[in-house]
Amino acid sequence: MTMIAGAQLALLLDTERAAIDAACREKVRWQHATRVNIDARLVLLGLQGLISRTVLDEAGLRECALVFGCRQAALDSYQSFAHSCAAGSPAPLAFSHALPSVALSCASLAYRLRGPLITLVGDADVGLRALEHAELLVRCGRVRQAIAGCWEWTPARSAAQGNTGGRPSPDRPDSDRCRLVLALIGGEPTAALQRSRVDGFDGFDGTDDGPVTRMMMVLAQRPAPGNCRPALQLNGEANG
Amino acid sequence: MRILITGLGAISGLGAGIAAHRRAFAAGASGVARVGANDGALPASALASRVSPVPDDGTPRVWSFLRLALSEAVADAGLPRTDGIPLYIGTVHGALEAWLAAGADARDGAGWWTPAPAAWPGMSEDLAPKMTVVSTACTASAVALGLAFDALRSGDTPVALVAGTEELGGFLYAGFDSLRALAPERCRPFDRHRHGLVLGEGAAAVVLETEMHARQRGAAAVLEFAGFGCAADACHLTAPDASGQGAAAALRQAIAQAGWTHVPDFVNAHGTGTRLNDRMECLALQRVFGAQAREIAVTSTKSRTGHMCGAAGTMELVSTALGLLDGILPSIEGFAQADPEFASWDFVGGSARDGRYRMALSMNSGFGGSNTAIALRRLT
Repeated sequence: MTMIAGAQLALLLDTERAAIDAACREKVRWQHATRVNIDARLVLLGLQGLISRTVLDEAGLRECALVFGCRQAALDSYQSFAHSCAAGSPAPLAFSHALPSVALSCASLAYRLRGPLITLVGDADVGLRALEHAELLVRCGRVRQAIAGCWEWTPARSAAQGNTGGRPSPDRPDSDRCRLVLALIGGEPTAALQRSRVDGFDGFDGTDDGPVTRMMMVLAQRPAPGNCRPALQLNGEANG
Repeated sequence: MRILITGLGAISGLGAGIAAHRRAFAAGASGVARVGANDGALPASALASRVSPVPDDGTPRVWSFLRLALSEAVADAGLPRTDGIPLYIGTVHGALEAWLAAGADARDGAGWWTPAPAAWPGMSEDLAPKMTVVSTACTASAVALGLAFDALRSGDTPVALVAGTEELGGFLYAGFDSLRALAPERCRPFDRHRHGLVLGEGAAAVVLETEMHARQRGAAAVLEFAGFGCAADACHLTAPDASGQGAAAALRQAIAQAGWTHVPDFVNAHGTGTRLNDRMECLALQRVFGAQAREIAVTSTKSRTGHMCGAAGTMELVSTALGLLDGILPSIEGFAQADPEFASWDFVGGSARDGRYRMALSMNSGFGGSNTAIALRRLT
């Protein structure tokens, strides 16, 4: 098992997809924030949240390594470009957003990030992989501080309870919910970080078995749901 | 602790296997051609480097490429078993073409980057639980190499498998075409008349081991993965930072980690053949090496293999490794005359260049301003 020393929950976002645009306009001070794809907007909101809550300042963020994982990234952009090709008019802007790393690329532009920016793709353990590799980058001395992150899109509870089989209805794309979790590795623990930890775990619904839940369970040092056995130990204590 | 390269594998438009790539680099062959009317995925007039014959094992081509390259690298390393060995994969779009062909249903979007064990018959299914898939645009497999390198030197594992794979389909071609990034007639890296890149596909794989582990099992390896650097431009979503400072930062990290005090014998540049990228790389080398940058042999293999996107990092590590091993530096296909701004530089034109090479750098860059550099050294 891999040891994760000093990984602390820094932020948990759990919101409806439809709320992201308004939040971006209000909170993210980057002129292009509402023009990038939805994954990028979510990540920008998360990073802005770290700054707003004084977990990290912009100068500190600039030198961090960011290692984020996702299971399904830039889907809107992939579909948008595919549709534009089918219509005979390929849209270069959609293509330039149609790759999993575009969210961190946008973050790099918004916050002038120059450290290693690594996007991982995978299954339900992708958040754990992000944690492992972020911790590795700090432990091996490549960076002093790293942010591990993971985001996912889930059907809204109302959609899940309806007759859509628990899947997002294509007629109601805005019914999707999204979750983003960020953890900080390295650097000094702060009071703001402690508050984030407490706020993040209060009321967290960890009954599903997605990447965000698996990452949250490791950060909370709790057994993961079902028969999931995360391949991580946190500060020497075994999970599950 | 030294990290050694103990196995190599590759498949591209140059052929299947390291031997085919060795012959191609030495002979100055290229995998780039007009694809023709029978291609099915690309316009008939498209200039590209296609894998042929196409592996037909019932899995998406991108994973067939991966399986072939990994199998060869594992056999080349003489690894007796692969269970428990972490696997790092770099790819931009994974099995995107298969998802599109199946109707591009959003509900099936999850998982098209992750090769299932069933996708690679003949490989150990034990690889699956320890797999990391990196998707950082065209530095994907280079970043995968960096993560593996850091894991090895930190003692997390004594051996790692790293591969990059990419399939060239209509989506990728149309995308670069829409950006007007494709060379109209010929890809000419670093040439004064360069006007764009040519796309390719395939996979390349590498086995990395700690020196102790390699020696204990009797592996005879002479190449050291000496250093890695990774830095972002923070400049533009698709264009590189023209100043080269991001690429220079990555170079400095790799060189510092390798502990080098001399300039390398050659650089295998990202060298896409676009006006912006090639100039940026020269400026990056100039930032790091000053006037000595002109003395370093600079080559690029992208005009022979095509730009393999997520597989570019490992493919170019392979070509850099072969240059060190064989003492044959592939020439830049399409290069005739240097950009006037870099007229006195040592670009490898004409035919392949024989020499005794001991230190080399491999550079890669990607959309979103990702930059990597890898330092390789021949031990004997």
